[in-house]
Amino acid sequence: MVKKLERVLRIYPKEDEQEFTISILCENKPGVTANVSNLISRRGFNITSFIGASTQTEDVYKIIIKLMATPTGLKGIVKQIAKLINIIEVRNSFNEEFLEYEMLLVKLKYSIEKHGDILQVVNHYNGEIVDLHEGSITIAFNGTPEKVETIFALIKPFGCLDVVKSGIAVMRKYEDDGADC
Amino acid sequence: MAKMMGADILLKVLTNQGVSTIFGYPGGATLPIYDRLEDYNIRHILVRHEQAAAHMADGYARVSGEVGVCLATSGPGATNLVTGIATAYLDSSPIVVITGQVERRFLGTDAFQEVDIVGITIPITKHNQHIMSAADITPALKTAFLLAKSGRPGPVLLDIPKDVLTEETEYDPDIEATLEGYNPIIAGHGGQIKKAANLLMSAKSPVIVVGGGVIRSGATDEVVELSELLSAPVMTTLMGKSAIPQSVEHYLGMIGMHGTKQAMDALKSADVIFAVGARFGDRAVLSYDKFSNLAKFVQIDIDPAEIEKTIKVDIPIVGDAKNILTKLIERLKGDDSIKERKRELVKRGIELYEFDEGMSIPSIIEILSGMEGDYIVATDVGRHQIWAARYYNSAGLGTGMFLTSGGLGTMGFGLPASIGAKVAYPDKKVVLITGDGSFMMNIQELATSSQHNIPVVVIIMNDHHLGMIRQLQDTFYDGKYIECTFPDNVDFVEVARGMGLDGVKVTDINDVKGAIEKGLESDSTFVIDCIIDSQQNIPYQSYDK
Repeated sequence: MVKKLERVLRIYPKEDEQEFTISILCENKPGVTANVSNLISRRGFNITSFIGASTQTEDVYKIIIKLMATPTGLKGIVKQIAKLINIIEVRNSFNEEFLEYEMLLVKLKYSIEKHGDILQVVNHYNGEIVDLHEGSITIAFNGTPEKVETIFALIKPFGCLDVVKSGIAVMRKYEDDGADC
Repeated sequence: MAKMMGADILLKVLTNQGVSTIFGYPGGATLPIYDRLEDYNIRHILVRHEQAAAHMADGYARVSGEVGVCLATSGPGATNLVTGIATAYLDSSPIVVITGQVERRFLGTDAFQEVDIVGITIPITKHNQHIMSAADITPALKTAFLLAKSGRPGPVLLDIPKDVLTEETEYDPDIEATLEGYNPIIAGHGGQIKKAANLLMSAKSPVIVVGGGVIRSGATDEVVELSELLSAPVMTTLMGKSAIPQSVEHYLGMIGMHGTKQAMDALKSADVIFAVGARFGDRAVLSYDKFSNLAKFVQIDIDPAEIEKTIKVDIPIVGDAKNILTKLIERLKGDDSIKERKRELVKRGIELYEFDEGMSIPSIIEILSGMEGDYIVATDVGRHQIWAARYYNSAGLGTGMFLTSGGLGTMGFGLPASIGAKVAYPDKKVVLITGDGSFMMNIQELATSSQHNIPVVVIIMNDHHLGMIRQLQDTFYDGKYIECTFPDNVDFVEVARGMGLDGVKVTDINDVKGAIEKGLESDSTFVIDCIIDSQQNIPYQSYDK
């Protein structure tokens, strides 16, 4: 009988998934987001937040992705993203301090009896009433993801009709010396 | 400036890029190109299946180092290319793939023969792109050739709607495309090279592991010089098979699951493993834990994403192998102590197959190898592929002249790849070593070879089995053979004759050499159907003892 062979079942060491943030500068070309998200999904990792918009440079866009991944998997993803032709720069938040900010847009069931209670939350957390209709009120809140979580927990009992989160904007705390922004 | 049709611009830019041959198959969406083809000095090889067009472009690219071009229509034409594109991607072969697409106004409507080939090929191309106007054709094609060839080579796909091909626009040959984010690293980092040099100087028994990157970079001479300087034995991965001349005595053969014992022993006793253009795939490494613990690693690769992808590397150097090795050798030569390091080198004892007079795959390969011709040798995938990698040790094997689908393991790669190679080198003899399973997967290309008179010598290792499947069932499924046997219901020689070619069936080992010689002399493709008696398995290598 032939000796059973040592077989490789998993390339990466067994690791737990953590939340990571990747910040990408890219050209504004079709297919960039498809290419990026493909590299994440083929490894079986899940994106928790994905935002992208223009920057101070014309035709250069910034994409910020939060995802659950293993540290080794993340390294591979970042290197592969950097290889994509339309990508200018990739950073991961692995060893850096960074700021996070998010917007919450929430539409609540409204009645005159709830007015005082709702307004209390809005005032306390610097919310902005953006729309008021018969039976519904739409409010915007800004803050760190943690703060937004708290606000959402407080406001949920009023009866949510719809909720939109902007996704998490991330910025490095410090720029490299001499870097022009 | 004169206005031109998109199809004309496409053909013009191809001509300007030096393309002399394209492999393709027409369809509704690409007819505007075919309609204009005869006005340009481009040879079109009409294949019988689009998959083969991609493999031919791949084979052409592998031996010539130039970009291979293939062309298919939208929908099924494009999806038939997918296996060929993936094969080229995993083995870093520079091809440009052009697919037709439905007219722009039909995009996204599931129109007849519409498929999102750009979406489908995202993970298997270096880059791909829709071309949405005739004015974009010139910059997109120029970019495609640049991307396919530079840095780590790979396939680039361009998808062109039919009405873009008929759209008229001004043709400006001088338009340049900007690629802000693309900047492959060629020169290695000086500090890293210095570190590597210091490590090599202090190493007691360094070994060099060479992958396909050395062929792509053309760094064979540098590797040999470095190995002599360090008195270090050299071994290759499957993709690096023809990177080192067989005449180098301290070339110990192939590492990995089916490598040579000598190479494995050298790996095990090494204190520094110096890897050039090898990506440490699972079949080469066997066990990542055990491999990583063997020695200190220096890894040279042009692709930063390959560094530490699978194993921990002590000194990574990103850049072109030839460039980095030249600098490294210079630095080592500047050190006097290198001359005192001369050590006795292990010489390769080429493993010979124990001849038992029967028809067996290794013995046939040894006969071919013993003929020492400077043939281009292609293989398919399966047991014959590994036997060929082990026993084809002909001194005539030129750099990059061993074609095999190492990464994807595509059965059916061999015949079209050999045809592509023959187109690139019409003066060289091309020999295909294939199996009865693999050959059947693209057997229709015999008709292509017959029509265009592209002669290849085909040696079929016909054991009426899917040999590798049989071996795996032997090893891992207690010898329970399921669906790995073919009945004796195909006469390959008659099939060849049916396509205007000739061949011979061989059942006696003493007739093999004569049959191969006859094939080499033939001016059309010659099929040698070798009926194999033995079902011998390929030995496995392991890290234990």
